[in-house]
Amino acid sequence: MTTRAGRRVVVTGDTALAEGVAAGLRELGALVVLLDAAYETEDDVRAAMEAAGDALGGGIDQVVHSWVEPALLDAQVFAELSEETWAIACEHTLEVAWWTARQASPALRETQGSLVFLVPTIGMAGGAGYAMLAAVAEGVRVLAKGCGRQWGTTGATCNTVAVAPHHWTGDAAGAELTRNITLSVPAFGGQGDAASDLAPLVALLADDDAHFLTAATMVADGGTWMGL
Amino acid sequence: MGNDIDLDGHVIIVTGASKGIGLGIARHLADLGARLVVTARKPEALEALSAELDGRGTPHLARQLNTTDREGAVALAADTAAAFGRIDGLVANAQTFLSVTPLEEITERNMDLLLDTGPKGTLWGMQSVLPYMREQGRGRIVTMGSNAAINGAAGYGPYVSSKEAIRGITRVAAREWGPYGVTVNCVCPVSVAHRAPANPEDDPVRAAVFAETFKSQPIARDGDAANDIGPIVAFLLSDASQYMTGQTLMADGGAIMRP
Repeated sequence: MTTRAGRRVVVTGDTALAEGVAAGLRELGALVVLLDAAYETEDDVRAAMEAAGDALGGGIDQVVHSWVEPALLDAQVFAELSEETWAIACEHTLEVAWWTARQASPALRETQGSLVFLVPTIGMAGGAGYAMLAAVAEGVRVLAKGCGRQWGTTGATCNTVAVAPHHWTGDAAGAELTRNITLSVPAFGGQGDAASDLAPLVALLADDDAHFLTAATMVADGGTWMGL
Repeated sequence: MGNDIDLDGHVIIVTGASKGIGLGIARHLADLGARLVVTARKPEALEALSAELDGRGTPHLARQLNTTDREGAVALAADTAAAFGRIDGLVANAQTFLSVTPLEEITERNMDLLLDTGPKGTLWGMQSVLPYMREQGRGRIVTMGSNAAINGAAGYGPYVSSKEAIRGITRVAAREWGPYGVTVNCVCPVSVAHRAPANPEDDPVRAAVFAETFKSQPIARDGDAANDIGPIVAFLLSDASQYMTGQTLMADGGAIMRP
């Protein structure tokens, strides 16, 4: 756990969400490496994480993982999904999340750092047309809980931040999915600004103040889904 | 321990602040530079807290308040605004507790006591601060749920039902008051040292619940009210949580991992 100025952060993903969170963390004083490449193997992830650590001066205080296989972001009828598509998109995205946790673990244990997974709320609420994305979101949240349990004694934490689906699916699909998530009026609604609404929350999870939060899901969707 | 949450000068009401979790939260908020309004039922405990805050140099009001007193809650909010000019946050913490009682032995009085001091007292406090927060276009309300309530802890029927009712009110208020810039979130803490029986044999059921809770936590210990629970409440009072509302945060060392 560290203070924000000079905090060494790795953000994964090649979406506007990843770029926005990275920009927001930089505004808060962090040094950020954005890993926006795709990964074929765990060795790819290991190499990327090591290079990021070197670029950050030899250590990592926080890893924010949001990378997904692009095929997950296309709406598809669940009944028509092929096994091959499922393996390439869904299983591979889960693999990369698992590899990221494993490869980030030594560095984060050393710094008592923070691993944060960004997922869409449709994992918890369901989302027609996005079965694979929802499955990945829930798989990642379970992975975060496992990491949280295993890392509890080390001082490293692992949490999930669940955000509006717009950040993955685009505005139109996100709005439709959001209508299906809640039967009531969203408190704020919208999708939240990645830099000003979401990055401060991500930063908080690496603060000393958050040392007693682990394996939790923080829902930052403007008060749309209130399932817990 | 470093703090990045900025509550310097914020005006925050903490009910039930003279002991236990409320006291720890008040102390942490004082450390962050907040101006406090603290309440308690018992004057002696309130005087002790006020003296402590004087010693810390924390600007504050100390008011005796029974959380079931709706008019008292309204007066408290008015006094707060008169003294400090605004109300930034409410930590609706006060609630009467009830010793372990099997469901079949619970009386109407038991239920009334927990519901009057729990969801109704919480609601009176929330209603009282709303006009000020709405006018400001910003407000932070933190309610207190319970890990035991989510788990349905045996022996805690009235307490469990009152705490889950508070979470329901929290979600409704979040939806109704979001347009005013007011967030409403709930914290479910594990911090029971002040309630744990000194001798486990005196209250074996409660002692067993606590022991089992700690055993299952990744961070396998009781939460410290000031240093573990306080920072999580402070986060929900800060701008860092501005896009979170209607949520429940487990401040329990990872004991419960739902949803």
